[in-house]
Amino acid sequence: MTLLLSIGIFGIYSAALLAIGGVGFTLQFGVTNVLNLAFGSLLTACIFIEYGLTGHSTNLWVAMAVGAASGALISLLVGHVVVGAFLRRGATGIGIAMVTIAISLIVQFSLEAIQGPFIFAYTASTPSTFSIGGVVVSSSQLTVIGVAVVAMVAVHLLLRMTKLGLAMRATAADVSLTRSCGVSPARTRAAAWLLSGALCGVCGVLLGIGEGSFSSSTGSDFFITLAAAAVLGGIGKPYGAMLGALLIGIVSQAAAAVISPSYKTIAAWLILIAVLILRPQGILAEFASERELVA
Amino acid sequence: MTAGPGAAAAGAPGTLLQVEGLACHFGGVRAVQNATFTVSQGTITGLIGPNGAGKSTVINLISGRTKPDRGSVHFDGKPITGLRPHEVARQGIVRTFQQANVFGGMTVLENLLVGATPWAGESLLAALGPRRAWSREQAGLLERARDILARFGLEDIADDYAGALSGGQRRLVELMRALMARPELLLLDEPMAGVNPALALSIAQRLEELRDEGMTMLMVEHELRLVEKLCDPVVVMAAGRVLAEGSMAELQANQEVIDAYLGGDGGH
Amino acid sequence: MVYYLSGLAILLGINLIAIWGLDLHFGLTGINSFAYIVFQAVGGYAAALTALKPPAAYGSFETYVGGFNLPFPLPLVAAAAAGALIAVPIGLIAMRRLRADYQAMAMLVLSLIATGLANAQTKLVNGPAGLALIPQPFAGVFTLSRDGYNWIFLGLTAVCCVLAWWVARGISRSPYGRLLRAVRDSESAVSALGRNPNALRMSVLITGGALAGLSGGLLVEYVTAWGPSSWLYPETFLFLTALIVGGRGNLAGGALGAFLVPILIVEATRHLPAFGYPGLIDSLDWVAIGAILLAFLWFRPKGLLPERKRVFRPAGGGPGAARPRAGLAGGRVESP
Repeated sequence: MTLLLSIGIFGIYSAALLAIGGVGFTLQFGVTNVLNLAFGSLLTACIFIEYGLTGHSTNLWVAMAVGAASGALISLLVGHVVVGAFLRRGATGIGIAMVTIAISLIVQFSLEAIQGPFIFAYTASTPSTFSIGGVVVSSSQLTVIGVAVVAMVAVHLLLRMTKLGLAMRATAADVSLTRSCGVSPARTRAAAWLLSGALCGVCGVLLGIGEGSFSSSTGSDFFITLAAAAVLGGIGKPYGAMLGALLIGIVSQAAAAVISPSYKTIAAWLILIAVLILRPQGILAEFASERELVA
Repeated sequence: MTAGPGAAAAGAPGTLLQVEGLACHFGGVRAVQNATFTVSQGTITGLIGPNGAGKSTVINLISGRTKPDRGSVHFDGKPITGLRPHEVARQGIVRTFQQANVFGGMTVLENLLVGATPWAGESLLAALGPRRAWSREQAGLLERARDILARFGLEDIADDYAGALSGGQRRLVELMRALMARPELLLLDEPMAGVNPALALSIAQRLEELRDEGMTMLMVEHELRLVEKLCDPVVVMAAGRVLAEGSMAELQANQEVIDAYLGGDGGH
Repeated sequence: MVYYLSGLAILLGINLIAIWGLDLHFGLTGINSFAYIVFQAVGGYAAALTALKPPAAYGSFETYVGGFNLPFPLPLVAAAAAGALIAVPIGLIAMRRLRADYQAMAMLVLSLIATGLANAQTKLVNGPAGLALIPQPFAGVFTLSRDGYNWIFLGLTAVCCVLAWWVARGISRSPYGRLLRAVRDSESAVSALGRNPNALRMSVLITGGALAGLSGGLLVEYVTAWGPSSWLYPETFLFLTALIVGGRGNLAGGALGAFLVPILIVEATRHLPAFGYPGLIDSLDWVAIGAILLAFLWFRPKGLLPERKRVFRPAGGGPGAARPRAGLAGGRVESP
């Protein structure tokens, strides 16, 4: 029983982290139609910046704010400026993929160059612990779950209740609809990069704090699991990412508990491959998905 | 695939293609329902109808690009329903596409060379072996390719990248490439779309010549004047169903056809 | 000095084979083979496991499967065969008709899964520690100095390079190669003309994979050690950058890229006065590679030696005539 509870709680904790980043990643894809393979390195960059600014023992809320701000800025730079320049030139899918990979190499290894291939301890103000049905959970983990819920609600409200949110949903469905929402497509795309960057930053910071440490490859490793959540749920669909995060969080936690801890990430990655082979449009997508994922 | 009622394999004498009871759907929409018609040897059979009638879908069903839910397709008496596109092509049916589908990164000559029927020298094993094994046959293909180019008066573009050509020229390249395979049946999906009238007329003449030489064609086309000039018989579709098949004169007297297409809001 | 240069030449040769193989996948056929390093890795492991003696012979300080202790050239044959075989499961994913960037992501994930599995399954290939003491070909046959052995190995590498060149060139100028380029441009048109695009893709994946495997086998026999850290996912992009820089779809471009990127940039920087901590230069190398990739994608995506137009000798020239037609400068004249 304790095992199930443990899988459930830590599964939800993993899901919370995955959801924050996954929704950012998928929202940005939905609006801009760019599969940002540099997302993982941006995650790491946000942790580094936050750590660089406030040191290794930091207030959770400050960390999240700094993470969100730096994430939004870097994402805008990478996405709207650099990738945008290639897009305006008419670059296609694989070209853009290579561009984002090049960016991720530059970012990840610049970070590694600056700080060395070391692992850094990273903690928030000392967390207190609780025992829930025999399972020990720290307050920062519970906070992460809380933050994720708040973030999901905020995203939901943004998408459903604001003009910008409507424009984002319109762009994700069909770019030509955007103008009729009263927001220019360029501004909508920029907003998507900013928002996904902010979520990326928060996710990164919480990831670092949750693990208790980080290195230059933390973000890249986590990115694939995050992408798995987004793809499983239906890429481009924020609610899909939430669903995918939940499923992957629980399944990978179960794999870690039942098989071995090193299988936590492998399980998630195998799910991703399975989805890409069997049903690339993910769970929530309609039969004929708007964005042609199947060539 | 289950065959429709009365689907004797051979059909009427001179029948090259027999489509019986074809149906398929996309999402919740039934794109084609119970399509039945024949294409006789040595004809240019037209396939017309308003937008969304399912004409291109029928071409895709015949060529194997889309799998039918029901119905059958027989070619020269043999069932070809459900075969994959390259298998259908190997039976002697070559199709063109609505958007001119050339190999943009290769020259026109190279495009034509790929059009030839699959031959032994194009295997991986042949590539690893001595040149001599395939160079002679390739020389023969090149000669045929240049002949076709000359026939269309397009020798000048032989070494141009197909991707750099105009839309009309690309359609011609696609057509010439299809001819390299010496197909028994040519499926043409709107070959004149977006082509200027003079060029369209010249293409029409080529098609007539090919028909006179014995090639059979099934042609989807919107331009009714061209259809009238080139096609006999003509199959009319609307809303996924086949309405009628006959000569243009017969169709113009057919009330159902007029209502759906040729009358009031029909014609282009 | 001589030892250093001969070693560099060996590495150049190994990279040539790998890059020509990637060109078959990516340059000629347009397959986004972003898990390419796995082909080389599998080849390396196959050579290692074939050449090594069983674990017990070394006091069991490593655990791994195989250990057949077979002599030259069997480990290299095994390496090429392994590279060819792994193409089948990788091909299943490569041929799933996905959008190009989606497919790239799938390949990256494959690469990561492979690394994860190699690390986790310690009984397979000794996990993160990797394999060491891999026997070299001809090791006991001649009594040679270190310098002398390098020349032997260089000779072996050169022979393999010639083999790779013969395969790649044969494919490139053949009707088969033309079909591959056709698949690159339009799979639907290839089907409509009676060829099976998936069969074509699989065959080139296998062939390129064999070359990658061979390069892995050579590399492993040269450095005598092989572990997951030798073949992380970015290595694919070392080869890819070489192709983008040098030029795709032609052997000369691949060769130029092989010289400029893995050799000039990576090896040359090894000789800067060591500054910073150990490993700093490696990190900076990767930053440079990312930057160069980005720069070329912007300024010169076709590379320094782009693929050239293939032009046939005009009819009536006869086998003896060899003059290209006027006005076709830059075209590569082929015999009809």
